[in-house]
Amino acid sequence: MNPVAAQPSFSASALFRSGFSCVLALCLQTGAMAAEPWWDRINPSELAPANAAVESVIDQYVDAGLAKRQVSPAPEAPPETRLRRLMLDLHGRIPTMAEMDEFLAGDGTPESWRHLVDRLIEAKGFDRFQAHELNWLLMDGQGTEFQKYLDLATTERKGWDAIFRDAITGQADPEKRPGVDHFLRQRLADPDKMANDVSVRFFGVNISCAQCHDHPYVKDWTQDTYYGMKSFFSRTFDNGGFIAEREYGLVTYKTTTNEDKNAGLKFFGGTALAEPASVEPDEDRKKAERAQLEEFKKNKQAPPPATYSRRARLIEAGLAEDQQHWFARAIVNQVWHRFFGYGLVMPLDQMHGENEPSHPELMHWLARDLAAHDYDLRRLIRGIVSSRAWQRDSLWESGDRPPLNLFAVAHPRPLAPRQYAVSLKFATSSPETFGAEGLAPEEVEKRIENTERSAAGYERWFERPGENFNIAVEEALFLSNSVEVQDQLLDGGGLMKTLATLAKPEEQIRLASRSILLREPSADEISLLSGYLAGRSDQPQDALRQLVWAILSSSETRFNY
Amino acid sequence: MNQSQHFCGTSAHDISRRVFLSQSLAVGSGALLGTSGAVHALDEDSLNAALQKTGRNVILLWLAGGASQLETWDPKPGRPTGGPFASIPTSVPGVHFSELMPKMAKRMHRMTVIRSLNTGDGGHGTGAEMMLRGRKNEAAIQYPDLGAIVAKELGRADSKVPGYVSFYSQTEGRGSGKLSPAFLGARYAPMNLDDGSMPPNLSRLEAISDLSHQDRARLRDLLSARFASGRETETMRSHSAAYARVHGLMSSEPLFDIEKEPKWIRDRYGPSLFGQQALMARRMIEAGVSFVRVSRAWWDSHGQNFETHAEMVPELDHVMATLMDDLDQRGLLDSTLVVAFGEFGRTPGVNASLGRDHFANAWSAAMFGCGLQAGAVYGKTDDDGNTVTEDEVGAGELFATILAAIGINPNKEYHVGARPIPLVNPGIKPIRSLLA
Repeated sequence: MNPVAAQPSFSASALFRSGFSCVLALCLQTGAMAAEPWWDRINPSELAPANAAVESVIDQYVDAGLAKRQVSPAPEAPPETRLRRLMLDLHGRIPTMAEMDEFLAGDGTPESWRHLVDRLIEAKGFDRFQAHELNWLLMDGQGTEFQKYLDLATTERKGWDAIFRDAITGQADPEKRPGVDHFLRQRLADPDKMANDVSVRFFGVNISCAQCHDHPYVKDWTQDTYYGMKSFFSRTFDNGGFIAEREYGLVTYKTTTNEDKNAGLKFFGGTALAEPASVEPDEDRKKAERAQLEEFKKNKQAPPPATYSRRARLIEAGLAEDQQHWFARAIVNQVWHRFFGYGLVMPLDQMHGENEPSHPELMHWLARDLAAHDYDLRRLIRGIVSSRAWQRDSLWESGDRPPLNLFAVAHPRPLAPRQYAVSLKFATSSPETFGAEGLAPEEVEKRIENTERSAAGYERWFERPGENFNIAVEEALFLSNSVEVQDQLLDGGGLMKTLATLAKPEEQIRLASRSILLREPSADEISLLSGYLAGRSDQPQDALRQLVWAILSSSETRFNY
Repeated sequence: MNQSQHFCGTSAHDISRRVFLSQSLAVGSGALLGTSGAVHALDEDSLNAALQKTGRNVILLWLAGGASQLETWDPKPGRPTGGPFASIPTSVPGVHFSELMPKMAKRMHRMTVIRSLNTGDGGHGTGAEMMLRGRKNEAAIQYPDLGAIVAKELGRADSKVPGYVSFYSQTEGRGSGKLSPAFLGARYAPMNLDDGSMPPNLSRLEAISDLSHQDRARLRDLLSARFASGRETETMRSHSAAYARVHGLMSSEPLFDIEKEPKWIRDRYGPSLFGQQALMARRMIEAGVSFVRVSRAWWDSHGQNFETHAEMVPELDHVMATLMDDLDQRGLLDSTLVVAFGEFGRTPGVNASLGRDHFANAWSAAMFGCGLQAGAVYGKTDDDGNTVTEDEVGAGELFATILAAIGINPNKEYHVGARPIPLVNPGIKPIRSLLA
C-alpha cells in the first residue's frame, strides 16, 4: 500500500478503471429529482391490452406521439426499400436480385409481408446475424468463443433470459453451452468492469458514477448500489480455465467521508438481499482449499459449484417478478435502437427512473410483453418490422426533419461492418450465383452462406457505428485503392463479367443498379451514367468497371435507409 | 445569429445559457445534432485578433500510461518519496531535473515546465479523455480532442497533406487514448498510423489511370449527393467528406517515407521507434500537417517503477532534445509547439512492488516552442510531491494555454445546432504568465 496515508491515490486494481464518466449533464437535462421513477406513474390498467398484436401497439403509441406534436409521418417506403431494409436488419445483407424480383411479383398485402417476415425469421440467415449482433451487444464483437455459444443459443431459440442465465452461470459444456464461460472469463481480472458491464449490457444502467460517490441526482443510487452490484461477482475466480466461486469474502469500500464499509448484496433500487452468513476461513482451511484447487487444476477438472452462489442470486434477483422490468426494458431498448437507429430511451445506458422514454407506455407494454413471452426476441423483432412506424420512408423533403424520437421518418443508418462487407460481396456477385434457373433452395442457401463467409476479411476496414458516428477516411482509401476491392469485387466479381456480355449501355446500367442498389435506375440516373460511359467509349471495359465502383462506393450502398 | 444577444461573457449569462441549453436538449439531443446543417464557428472579439497566427502547428508527445513527474521534471531527491535517482541542475539556475534527463536539463532555458497539474482523474480511459480534450465528455455531448481542434483552426482547406496524424504503435492504452473529432466531423479525425508509418491504401493501383480514378470519384459524388438529398445525416456527410479527401492524401505519399530523410538525420534521432516517429512528426510539420501525436507507451509502472523509468526517461530525454535542436536548425521552432504529457503522473508514495500508482493531483507537463515563455517553471508541489502548493493548473487551463500559445482563441465557440460550445469550458483561462 501507499505509505503516504493522506493523499488521494488510485491504485491499479480499484478506482476509476471503468472508462465511464458521470452523467450529471444528462440528469440536468432530464429533469432530475422526480419523486418516483417514471414507470411508477404508469397505470397498467390503462395500457393497451396484453393480447394485442405487438405491431399494432407500436403504431398506437407512436401515432399518439405524432398526433400530440402535430407531425404527420412520412409515407410507407417503396417496396424495394422495405425489402432491402428488412434483409439488412434480419439477415445482415442486402437481398439478392432473385429475392427482390420474387418480392416485387407478390401482391404487396400486409398479410404477405407478415408471411415473408415469418419466413425470414425462421431461416438460418436470421440466426447467424442475430448471434453476431448479440455478440456485439455482450462482447463488443470480440473473441470467437462466446460467439460459439451464441450461435448455438440462437439456433436453439433460447430466450434472452436463458442467455443471461447461462452467461452469468458461466458453466461451459461442449455440447450444450460451448464457450459460455467467456462472458465471465474476459472480465474476471476486473470486478469493477464486470459489475459495470453486467449493469450496462443486461440492465441498461451505468452506475459507475456511484463507485466514488452517491449519484447526485438518482437518489436511489448510492455507493451501496454500486458495491452491492460488485458483490455479486467478488467471489468468482478462474481456476485453471474453469469458473469457480468461493462461499466467503465481502467487498469493502471507502465512503466519501472516508469511512470503511462492508457492502451488502444489492440489486439496484432494491433493499439488501439476505444471504447465508459468510465465515472467513482460518489459515488451515485456506491451505486445504488451495491444495484442493491445485488438484482440480492438475486434473483439468471444474471445481464443484458453490453450494451458495452469489451469481445465482443475481440471476434470481434480476429475473424476480417485481424486478425483471429492468432486464426486460434494457433489451427492448437495445433491439429498438438497432432497428430504428434511436432508442426509446437515450442514452442506452441511462435507463434509470428519472430518464423517461420518448414513449413510456410503449416501453412499458413491450417490456411486459417480452417478459410474458419467454423473452423471445423474435417476437419483438417480428412486431417491430411489421409496424408501420418501421416501414416508413427515409425521405423528408419539406421543412425541418422531425426529431428522431418521434419515429416519424426512417433514420438512415450506416451499415455495421458485417452488413457492409457482406453486402459489397452480394452486390458484385453474378446474378446467376443465386438466381440461375433450376437452382435447388438448399444450393442457394449454401451459396449465400459461402458468400457471407468470403466477405469476412473486409470487415476490419469498417468501424462499428456508435453515437455521432463519422466514417473514416481509411474506409474511403480502402474502397479507392485496395487490391481486395479491385481484384475481388470489381474484376473478380461475377457482376463485371455479366455486364461485359451486355451490348447496350442502358442494359448495363440497369443491371448494375439492380444488382447493387436493388432498384431500377431513374431516367436521370440512366442519362447521367450513359453520359459517363459515352465519354469513355475509348475504354469501355474500364469505364464499366469505374461505373460499378461509383455505385458501389456511393452513400446509397453504405446506408440502410 | 447575433452572438451578442446570447452571451457577453458574464457569468450571469453563462447560467441563463445553460438553462436554455438544458431546455433545448430535453427535446432530444439527437434532434439537435441531426438537424444542424453545419458547425459554425463564431469568433468572439474579446481576444485581440492580432493573436490569430497562422502557420503554427503542434507535436504532442503522448506519454501513455502516465510518466512519473518525480523521475523527470519534478524530482524530490532525498525525500521518502524521492526514489533512488539524484537530481541535476539545469541551464536555468535553481531549477533541477531528474538525473535521467541530462540533455533536456541543458536546454531548460528554452523550455517551459508546469509542475502543478491537478487534474483529478486517475483512470486511464477517463484521464486520457480529459487530458486530450481539456475536459470530460458529457453524456449528451462529446468534445473534440486537441488535435482535431488544431487541425480545424490551423489547417489549410486546400492542404494536400492530412491535417492530423497520430502514431500509436504499442497496443497498451491505445483504446483508452482514443481520439475523436466529435462534432467537428471526420474531416478532422486523425490519420492513425498504428501499425507502421505508411498508411494503407494510399497509393493508386496500377490497373487504374489517374484520370479514371478522378473521374469515377466525381461520379460517385454525384450519385451520393442525389441520394442524400432529403435524407442527409451527419454520418452521411462524413461519408462523402471522407471520399473528398482521398486524392489530396494520395499525393502526400512521399511524406510517409522515412527513407527520404538523410541517414545522418535518422541517426540523430536514434534507432528507437519513438525517435523515428518523432522524426516523422517533424517531417510532417515541415510539410504542413497541423498536429501530430507521437505516442510512447507504456509508462504504467505499478511495479518496478524505477527500472521502467531508467529505461524510458533517457529515451524521452534524447528524443525531445533532438527534436528541439532539429526544429530549431530548420527554423521551425518559432512556429511549432511541442508538448509532452500523458493521462496523469504517478504517486509520490512507492508501493510494495516498488511501483508508483496512478496520480493526478500533483504532476507535471513539459513544453517548448512557439508562443511560450522560455525558461519558465510554473507551479510548485510540496517537499514530498503530494500536493500542489502554488499555482494549481487543471486540464482545462493546460488545454487553454496550448491553444493560446499557437494563436487559437480558447474562448472561441462552435455551434452545434443551437448550442454554443466554447473550445474550453466557461471560466477556464490560459496561464497568461506563460504566454510569450
